[in-house]
Amino acid sequence: MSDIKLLYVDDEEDIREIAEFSLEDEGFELLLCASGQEALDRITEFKPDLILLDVMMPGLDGPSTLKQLRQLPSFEHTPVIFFTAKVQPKEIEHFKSLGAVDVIAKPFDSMQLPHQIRSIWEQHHG
Amino acid sequence: MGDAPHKANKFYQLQQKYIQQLPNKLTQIQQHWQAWKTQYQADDVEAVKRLVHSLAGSAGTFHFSQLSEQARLLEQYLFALTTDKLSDTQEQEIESAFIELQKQVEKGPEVIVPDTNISPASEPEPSRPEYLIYVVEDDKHLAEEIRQQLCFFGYQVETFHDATTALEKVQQQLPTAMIIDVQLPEGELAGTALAQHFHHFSAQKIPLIFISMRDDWDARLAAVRGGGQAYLVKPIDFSELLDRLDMLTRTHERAPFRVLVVDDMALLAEQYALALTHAGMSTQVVTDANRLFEPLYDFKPELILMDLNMPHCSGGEAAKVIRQKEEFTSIPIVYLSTESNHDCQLNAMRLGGDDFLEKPISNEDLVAAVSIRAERFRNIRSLMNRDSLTGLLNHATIKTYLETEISRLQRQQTGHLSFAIVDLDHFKSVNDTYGHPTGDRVIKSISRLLSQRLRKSDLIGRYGGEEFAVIFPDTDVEAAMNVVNELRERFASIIHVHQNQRFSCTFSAGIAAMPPYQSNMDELIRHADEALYQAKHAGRNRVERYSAESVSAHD
Repeated sequence: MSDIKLLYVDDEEDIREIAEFSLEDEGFELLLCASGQEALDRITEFKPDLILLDVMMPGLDGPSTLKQLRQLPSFEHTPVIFFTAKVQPKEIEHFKSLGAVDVIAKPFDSMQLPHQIRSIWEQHHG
Repeated sequence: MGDAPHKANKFYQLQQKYIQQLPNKLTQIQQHWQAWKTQYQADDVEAVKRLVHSLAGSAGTFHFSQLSEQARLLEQYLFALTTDKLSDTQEQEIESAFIELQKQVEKGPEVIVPDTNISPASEPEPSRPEYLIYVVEDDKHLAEEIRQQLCFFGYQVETFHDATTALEKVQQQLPTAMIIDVQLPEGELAGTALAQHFHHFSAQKIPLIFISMRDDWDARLAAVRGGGQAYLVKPIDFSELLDRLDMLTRTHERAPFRVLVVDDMALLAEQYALALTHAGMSTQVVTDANRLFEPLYDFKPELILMDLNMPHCSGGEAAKVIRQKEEFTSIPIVYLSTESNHDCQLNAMRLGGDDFLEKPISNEDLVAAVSIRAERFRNIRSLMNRDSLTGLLNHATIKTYLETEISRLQRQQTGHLSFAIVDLDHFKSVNDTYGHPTGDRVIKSISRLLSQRLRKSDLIGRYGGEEFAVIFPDTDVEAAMNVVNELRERFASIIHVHQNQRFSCTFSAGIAAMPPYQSNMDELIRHADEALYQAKHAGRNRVERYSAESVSAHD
């Protein structure tokens, strides 16, 4: 099984670190970005298979970042997962209507995160 | 998969780093909060919301799940605010939430190092039969007798005749409890020595009961040191042995206390509820006192925790309304308020409250105050509804339940209901021959048999001196006959002991059932009674069902 190239965007350093810890050696090639802008700047070079996007960030928030990267030619269809603390069923629907394939809730369990991402990937890739 | 010990170590480092940063995170929230309160800058408002949000989203990952939950409540509250200019009450609520966050930070994480993911799907626990009892007794005859007697009451029993084989088995599978003879082939006090071995391989405390020929201080002391919770001298009184065993093994079956939290401040109410839930209670929150009735009937709380100062209806008024209903006259109502004025507190109690707790209150104090009162309420209600000797429902209560069941069926015009009256045979002669204390033990043993062998949904009452009533909901008469007949056989095999005399007892039973749906309660009881009379008349130790023909034949 080849590694999944995952772009992960989160403004919080401690969460980026624990997510990196959780995903390393689990079959992911990671690029971590601290802001939506950084992600937009580096995405073309990295060419991710899958994007994990924090919703609430200062500056460009998750939904705005998603909107902008959809306008980039190679990333119209790259699956995006939102990563957020707010997950009422209604909100999940709202996020999906913005073009996300799924939502992962925070706080996350560092032992489960790789499995959660992989199972979403298996449902949506291609 | 990663290298597990390395991963655990790395997690520990990240967690430590997070713990170090936590106080700083709270300080930042506080600073923006102070600015929000005084200057109403949009930037500060946003910062407080964002920082609380981030705390809610991160703390749980580092095993501060209660901190996460508390922050989540505060976050929801903050995002629901319609204006940045807050009222005094809103400020108070937010500040008390900060205190709660602070406390959670001080408490530290729930788990220091997580389970390493050597096997992501954790292995299932070795299965453990519900009530597995090991009996270690070198007298094979006695061991077998204990096994048989305990089996009647739903225990699964394995017997061992020396300490060595027992110890081997315990290492493979832990029992629910053990019964051990103090004296075993390995030595005078080998039983107690065996018990001391358990501490080496089980952190879990297995309830131990010692049995012995000896009634001296040394043997009893050795039993205490071996961790024994009970000590019975031979000849074994099985009824006492069962009492002890029930007490030691069935304690976990208590349902959680149900607490209704009534506070117009949603955030506070949720916080209280969360603290109580973490202490193992079941809670429901009401923020509008005008909507109290529904949860009172549906949730059936055992305690109401109520804010005294609510905008549309004060806690005192709400209590008065609740107390107007007869079924709620005794439910404990505990007020919560910032009111420290003694007269106001007294006044509140006059309005039907039972106690008064002052805000702010620590979670520990809240949990203690609530559980003590809920427990007392449960005990009092049980005294009112239950028979004191057997713990079964009393005559009046079982009839109330029967009435309810009958009217349910009459309404639905479908379904089944069976009702049995069980009466001990020749019980007067047991009392005359062995005395009333022994008679009481026989009563207790049949009560125990009924409550352990019947389903949770079946209702069992002590109907008279030696008479018992059982309501079998959703059960037709054939099924009820089978169950009661099985009980009859079991009961007849139980050996009762009086001093050195051994005897057994039997019972007879009569069963009546619905449909027909037109029967009322008095008829159903009379029919069961008539069937019981048939059973007695036909020679006792039997179960009869009511049928209109057989009765008319007797008339």
